[in-house]
Amino acid sequence: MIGMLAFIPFLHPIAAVHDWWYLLLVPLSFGIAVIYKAMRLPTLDAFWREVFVMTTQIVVAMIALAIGLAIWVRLVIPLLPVSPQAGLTPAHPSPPAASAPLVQRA
Amino acid sequence: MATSDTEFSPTAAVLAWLWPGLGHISRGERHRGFLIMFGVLFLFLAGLLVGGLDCVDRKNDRLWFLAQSLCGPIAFVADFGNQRLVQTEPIDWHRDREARRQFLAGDPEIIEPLRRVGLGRVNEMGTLFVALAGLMNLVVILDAASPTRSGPS
Repeated sequence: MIGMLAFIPFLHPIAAVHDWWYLLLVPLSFGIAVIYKAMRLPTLDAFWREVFVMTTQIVVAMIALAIGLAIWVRLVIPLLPVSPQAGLTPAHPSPPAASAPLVQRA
Repeated sequence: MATSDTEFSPTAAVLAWLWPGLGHISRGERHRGFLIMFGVLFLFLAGLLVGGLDCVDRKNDRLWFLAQSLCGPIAFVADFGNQRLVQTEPIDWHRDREARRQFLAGDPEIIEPLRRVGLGRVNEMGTLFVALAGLMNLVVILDAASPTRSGPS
């Protein structure tokens, strides 16, 4: 029944966007590039080419940033040693230091 | 009225806030002004299309609305529409049996207002689009007030 109700643009949100929200980076970058280039270019002769280049730069940079962060979080951070000072219990406790008092057995 | 030089013009700044791009048009940079208008309205309308009217909310998303209000009166109009059409009286689902029955029966009278509320990433992206339109328009307002570029448009 809910699906039968009419969708009204600009009043109802597009629920389908929830699954592919990351693709909205492209129109977002395009809009930012249009405004920025319209302000900064001394002449507007090559405006659309400049907008295309800046949009591509933003999208590629964000993809590279995502790949870099994924490598950092999934590959590099698990390789880091766990510090006891950080309040975490090590998997293999280190032996007692030489200065530690020995317990004599009766 | 056209002042295409780089002198400070508060009138152009006010016009740029009233309608995106109008500040540059008032300075005689028509082509540049229309491109800016296209860019800001593209982001604004794309945000409304994705998130619905609910993504401009002065009462529940006050900090976001600070950025969105930089788009000018259109943001306040969108918020007015949101408060009138989307934000309805909250339903107490535990006590209001009639509302529960209507919901389960698929009554449009109770389902239609619920469909207008944006949730999750849809609401986030719509809010972000409109907020970015406002923040970019702030740069446009500053540029309209005292442009720094040189050369013809």
